[in-house]
Amino acid sequence: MDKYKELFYNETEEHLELINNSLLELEQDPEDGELIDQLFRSFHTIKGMAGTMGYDKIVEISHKLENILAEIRQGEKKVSPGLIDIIFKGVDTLELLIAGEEVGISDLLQQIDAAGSSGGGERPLARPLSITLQEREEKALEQAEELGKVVRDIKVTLEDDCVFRTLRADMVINKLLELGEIVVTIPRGELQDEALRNGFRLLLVTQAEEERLEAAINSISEIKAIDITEFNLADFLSAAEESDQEVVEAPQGRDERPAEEDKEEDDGNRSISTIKQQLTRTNSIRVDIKRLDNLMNLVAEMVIKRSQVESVGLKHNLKELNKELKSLGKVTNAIQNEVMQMRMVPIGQVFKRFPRLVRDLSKELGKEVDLVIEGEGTELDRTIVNEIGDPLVHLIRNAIDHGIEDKGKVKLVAYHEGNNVVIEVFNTGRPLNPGQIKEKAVEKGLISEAAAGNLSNQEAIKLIFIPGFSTSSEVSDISGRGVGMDVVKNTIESLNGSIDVKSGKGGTSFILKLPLTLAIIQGFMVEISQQKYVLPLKMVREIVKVGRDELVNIEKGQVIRLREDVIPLVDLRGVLKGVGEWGEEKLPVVIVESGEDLFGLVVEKVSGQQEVVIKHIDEEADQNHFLAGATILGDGKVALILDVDKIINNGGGVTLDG
Amino acid sequence: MYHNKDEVQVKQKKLIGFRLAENLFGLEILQVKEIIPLPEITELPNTDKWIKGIINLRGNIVSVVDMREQFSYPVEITKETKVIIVEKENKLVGLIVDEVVGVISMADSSIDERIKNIDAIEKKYIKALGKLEDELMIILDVDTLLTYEKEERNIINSQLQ
Repeated sequence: MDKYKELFYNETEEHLELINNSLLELEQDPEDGELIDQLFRSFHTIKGMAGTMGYDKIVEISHKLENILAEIRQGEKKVSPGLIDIIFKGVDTLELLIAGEEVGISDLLQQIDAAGSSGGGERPLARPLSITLQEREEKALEQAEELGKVVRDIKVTLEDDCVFRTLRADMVINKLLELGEIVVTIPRGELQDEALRNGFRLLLVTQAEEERLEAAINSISEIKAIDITEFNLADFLSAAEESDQEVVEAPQGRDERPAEEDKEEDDGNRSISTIKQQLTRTNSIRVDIKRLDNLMNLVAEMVIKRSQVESVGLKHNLKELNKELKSLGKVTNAIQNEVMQMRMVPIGQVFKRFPRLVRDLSKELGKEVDLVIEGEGTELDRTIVNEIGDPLVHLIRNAIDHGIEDKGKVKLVAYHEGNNVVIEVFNTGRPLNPGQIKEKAVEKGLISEAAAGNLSNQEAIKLIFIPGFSTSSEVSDISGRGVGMDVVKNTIESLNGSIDVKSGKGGTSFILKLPLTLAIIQGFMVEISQQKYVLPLKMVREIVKVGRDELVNIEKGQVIRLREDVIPLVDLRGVLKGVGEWGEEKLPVVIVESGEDLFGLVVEKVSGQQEVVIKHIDEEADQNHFLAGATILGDGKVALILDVDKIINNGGGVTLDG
Repeated sequence: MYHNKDEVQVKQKKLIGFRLAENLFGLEILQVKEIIPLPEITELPNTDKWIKGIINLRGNIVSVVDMREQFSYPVEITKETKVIIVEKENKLVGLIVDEVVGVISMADSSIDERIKNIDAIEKKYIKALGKLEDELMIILDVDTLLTYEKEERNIINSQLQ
């Protein structure tokens, strides 16, 4: 059952996204019939799926929303901001319900009902019932004309207060069947009271005179009006061709649902482009990320096994085998790449929730905000995409709350830059004020006044990333919910990324740099007591050989001199293995950059760089958090990946200041 | 009396039996994923002794716990030493044991979950005692096995501060 729930959740989630986007677009273009259809279909699908799952509340809400859409489609209701608000509200509630939360829905249903009956403005005039022909019907009409029979186009309107519309319509139809053959009835499908509000229309092949038909129909009570004309197929078809779009899309009556559900041939009436769209949409499958991880592990294992077989081949000098293994190696590498690619998803997955966010925020704050999104196709690792949402939400909230004054623009841009993905969140409006920021930081005791004085403007605005800093003096409802920019910075950094801020006359820009993937890093391999460790290559500046006589003892430990710099040492041998005698031999020291500072890591051996796949280690096992993970080397052995920053901060690093 | 026989079968538990310093222990078979010979273990820096390190299990990194250490027996590794891979909270954990005895079926009636007379830290890991013909089996609870250690550590840490 859980599997079905998950499926339900995933699929409805997709539809809710679609709905959110379509609603936003509809707000801009209330006349767009395709959007309305789209929305109608999505609500209808959700209703259907929830029905099979037995989620009554979801069924009820989506049914009511579907009805509103149907009314809009019929032109009986106009799209108004108020109406869209209510639909949004309904969508929000659906989201909660689908996520499994217990939500009361009676208030909402009442609101929807109110909107449904009168809220959306006055009811426009009923649209004429237009005719569409299916192939079979066209043929029938053709034949009738060939036989010299007359086709009458009959429109019947029922009295406004007519109660049994279906019954009356049936009676009319029965009467007419005595006089001829009915080819088409509009609305199509089962005649229902609601569907007949505008009356109905039919094409009758008959030899009876107009007057006779009229009399026959008038013999039924509660008929308001009858309109009979002669139908000419050729005229109809040429008119239809001219306004192809219109005919194809023409509403066939209020209630299209039965036709849609029962008869596939009705799909012929949908434009081909919609069908194509649907086809491409289903061109992907959903896979649990765990399965991808498993696949990746197994592929890595396969690569290792391959090289083990190769070493056997080399040992016994099996040239033929080795040749084959070489080409097998190409295949395994290709598979590995492919699997890595599978983990990549477009950043648009995150971006797509922002139009709604911006709309709601700007409404709430009474500001006029344009959102521009670029580069939503930029791909990065799924794990990063999952984590990046909240920080971005925070930045956007901030931008709208603090940055933009009354009217402005938020721009969200993503692009690749080398091995990184850059995301920029830009907003127009007043720039950050370095002076004010410094003042606040001093006031809050975050830095000393003297230190503040030494800061450049660029350095000053970076103070907003310090824990405890908030640019707004009073906590606002929008962005001041206790999370500050420091949380954003931490999140980004935990993803191995960095954040920078630039501010000027044009506005303010936050620049996020993220790695393409969390799963692979360029590693720098070192050895201590025959065990291999991995340092992130991007931190490594250079390697120097240091002899005992070059060490300088200071109060807090040891340092070395490297050109102009004094570099504190961290003896990894001691930190990791509890050993650390410095003999006569020179030892390699890896100079790493941590934050703005350089440190020297003492190791026993360096063994070059290598791309490594990071694997998670249980938190319980890594009690000091000195490790960023582990990786499996080419020979199947496990090497530990070091969290250099943590080791420097907690593991006996020497600091020079103070 | 055939139907009675069936009923008896329903009330049986299957356990994986293993030994630590001659004592018989058991884990419910459903909690055991697999049993492997002792692989090469990569030690972790500055970690409690009971965590032996991590291993490569077909591309997955799995932490292994020395059960002898956990139950305060002297650590000893022989060629019979095995690692029992169990699943705990969706993670795999390896337990190093002296020897795996095999699958043991035990009637529910001979499993006693009311353990009152054991007064030891280890009591928390113990789910029940099983009576076999000639010896007792200590049935362990995988779920508390590792969490308790963590809680205990936290308590100790907070006392130190």
